Amino acid sequence: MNFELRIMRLFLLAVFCLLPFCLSAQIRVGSGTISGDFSFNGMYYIPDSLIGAREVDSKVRGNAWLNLNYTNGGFSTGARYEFYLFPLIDFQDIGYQGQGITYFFADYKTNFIQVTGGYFYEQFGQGLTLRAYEDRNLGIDNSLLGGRVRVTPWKGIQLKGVWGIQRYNFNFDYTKRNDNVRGLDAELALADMIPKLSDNGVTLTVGASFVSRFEKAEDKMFNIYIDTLQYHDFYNNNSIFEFTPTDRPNVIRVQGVIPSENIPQNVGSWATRLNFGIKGFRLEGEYASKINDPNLSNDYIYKRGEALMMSASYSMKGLGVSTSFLRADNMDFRSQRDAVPAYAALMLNYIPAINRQYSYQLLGNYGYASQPNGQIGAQAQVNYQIPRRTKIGGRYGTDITVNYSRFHDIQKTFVPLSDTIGTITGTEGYTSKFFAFGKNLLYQDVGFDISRRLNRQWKLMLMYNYINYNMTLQGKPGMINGNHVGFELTYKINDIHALRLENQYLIIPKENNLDDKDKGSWMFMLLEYSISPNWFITVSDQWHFGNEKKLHYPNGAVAYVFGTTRLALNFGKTREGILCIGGVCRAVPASFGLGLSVTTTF
Amino acid sequence: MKKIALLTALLIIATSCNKIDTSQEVFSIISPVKVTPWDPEYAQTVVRKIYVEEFTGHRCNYCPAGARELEALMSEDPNIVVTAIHCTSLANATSHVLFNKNYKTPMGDIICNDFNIKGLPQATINRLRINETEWNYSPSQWRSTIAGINRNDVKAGIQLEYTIDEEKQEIEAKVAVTIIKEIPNPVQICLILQQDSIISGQLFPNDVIDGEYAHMHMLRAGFNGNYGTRLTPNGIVVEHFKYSTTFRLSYGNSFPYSQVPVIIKNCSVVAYLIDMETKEILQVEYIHLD
Repeated sequence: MNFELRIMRLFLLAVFCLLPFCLSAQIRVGSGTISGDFSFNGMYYIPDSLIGAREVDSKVRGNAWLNLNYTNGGFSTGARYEFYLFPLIDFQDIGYQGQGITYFFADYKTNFIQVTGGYFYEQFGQGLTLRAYEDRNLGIDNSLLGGRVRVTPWKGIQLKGVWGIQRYNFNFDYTKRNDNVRGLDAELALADMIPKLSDNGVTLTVGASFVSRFEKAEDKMFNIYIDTLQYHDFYNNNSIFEFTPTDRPNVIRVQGVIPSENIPQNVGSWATRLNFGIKGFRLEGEYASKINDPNLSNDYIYKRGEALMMSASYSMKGLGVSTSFLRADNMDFRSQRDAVPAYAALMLNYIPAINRQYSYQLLGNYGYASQPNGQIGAQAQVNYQIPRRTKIGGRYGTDITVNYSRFHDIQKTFVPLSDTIGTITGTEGYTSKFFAFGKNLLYQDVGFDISRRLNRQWKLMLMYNYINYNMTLQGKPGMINGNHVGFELTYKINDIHALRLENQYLIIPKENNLDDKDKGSWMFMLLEYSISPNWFITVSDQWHFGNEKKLHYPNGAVAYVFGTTRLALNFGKTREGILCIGGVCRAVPASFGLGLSVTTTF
Repeated sequence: MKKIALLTALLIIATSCNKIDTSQEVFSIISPVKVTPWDPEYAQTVVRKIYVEEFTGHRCNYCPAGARELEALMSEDPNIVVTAIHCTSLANATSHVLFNKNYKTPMGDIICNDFNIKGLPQATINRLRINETEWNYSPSQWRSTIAGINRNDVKAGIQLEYTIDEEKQEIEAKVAVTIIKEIPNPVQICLILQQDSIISGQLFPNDVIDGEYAHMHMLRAGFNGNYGTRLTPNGIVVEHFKYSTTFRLSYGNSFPYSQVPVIIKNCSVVAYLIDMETKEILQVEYIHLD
């Protein structure tokens, strides 16, 4: 038996040994309590050449972690052990592989001050300058190792200071790191300070933050392409006599270098924000800027970055209206300038996607990935409930949601020097008018859904969306222009037993210039039988019926919930695609196999 | 206390951004040639050196006499630099145990061909052209031709340094060319490796063979091509500027044609500046590798 199988078996054993322990609630130790959570996601992989599920070296794989926290009054401490030595292939593909104590902290908190040492998560405002967070599904853990202080000198005023080194997957040799992060944040909740405001239902908060990243600079080499006829002055003035010919006549390639002294070691980013609310109306806005930050994601340009996010909403009984606007330009901000842009590791800030987030399977395959280095767009959504006991609303009322969102790349006028040297590297890059839309549509979604309880037993939801999804968001050619229609029907047999049926179609015309794997329409059907509160049994299938291959992706799952513990077993196929949460996405490889998951909290 | 906290925060903010001035180009193109203003004091010390390419062969019975003539000239004038280029059929290896080594080089063959060398011994002197098709001087012409060169016409100075990486078996030669007088034509700098005291057979008149003959100044390889490389994109160099660059030569493997090992302590690097229009050698410099 090979080593990984032995390790995996040990872990499975550990899972089941821990279960009885986990069934109990928090454990009291003296005057303190111990709490935590445990999770295991494992899978046995079966290769399937039809769907592109590859043969993996270790067929049994799994992700597991255990959090343990101790709290006693204002003091708390905790640690997390992660076992990702043979992780699910999704995680292996993004480099999230290893094992160890990945998180530990000690924290002391009073009404005046909170001090944290060790690893910590933190967010300033909306996160445009700093968001150290984790998302286990995405394989993101951007925690900081260092120290944090939060001070509340007066009611309504909070000051924060952080200093640390960001976690980078399982690379824990911090002595080799040449980077660290410092940040300050101040927030004034004026309504807390001025009772008259709160008495009148007003909330008003202003804040500002500043984050600086240090990374030791090294010379950056890059390729320069010169048309020797068109730019002969530049050619002659630069003592070029060693070059590489290219496949274009008169165009030569030479090596350029940005010396380390011209690469900023300290990159600062700042933001201001405002939150205002009065009764049902709410207005939020944050503007962030970043000084020159040449890095891999922006091709080493020196342009200032900026981002603006605004949202306004109004809600009253039965009606909710919200609109948002977002523009981000050169705002990919990471701990290391050579961090791979395709992965979310080492991200310091967070530029969210403001479009409506869907849980529908087929639309989820084309979730919009936020583009920190260039996006502009807006969304609007109206939620309306047709009152109950009316002719149209019916006995239980009818919920209608209508939404629209549209995102483009930003307009760019490249600097003349970039023409001369055939690259934007080492230049200001481009200029961009703040409110100008770029010519490339990235994403558009217009849709509605109607949800209505027909009687005590039946509930129906109908949905329709028209989406335009630029496949460059997944690094592929073409544009999805699709109609998504579907329904969800729930039949409550009695207080314990229920059936739920989902059926969705994503109609994609064949003529779209798409990768073969995306060409053609899809159908998704799911049937779930639940026995409250313990059992959930689901069968589903995604069928690529509009494609020549007409592939099926069937799945079956059984889940058992007792207390705070959930056990689930599933068997089936997963299509290649992406998984997006809040505009942050990761690639999902095609897979086929038997999965087991266990989660518990105590 | 509040003021101190505020000042600390401002100090952190102020020192936590490095704004780079992009009004000037922040990058540069990596060129192996660094161009800097000249050093007039150095220029005062430069003398014009003479470069002699001695075309020879181990089965050329009059070549040892030619070599002796050049040794004599070199001992009289230390500013003469000689490279022995083994070429023509008289330099071919044979089955004879004393002539079975091949000292010809691809570079030497090309030079020999380009300068129309037929009989041995012959020499080019600063590659001065005799007529449209000839550059080769017979031994009897060498002394007078050298004497006729205007040594006051110093167009350039060459400085040479070297380092040896024994682990990589690599010679790094740093060369700096100072342009003292205007040179209207494009130029190229050429670096070669030559080796002394290669003990082997040599034919003498009357079919006498010296099996322990010490071959001197033997061309082993070029660092940067048969005729070197340009110092600027178009080869034109500017008066009162210094052009510095570095070349490397790996001596780990035997050079083409030859199984004769490179013995570093017997080697020298020679650098010469060629007028690419007239083919004349404008300056030459020599450094022995210890």
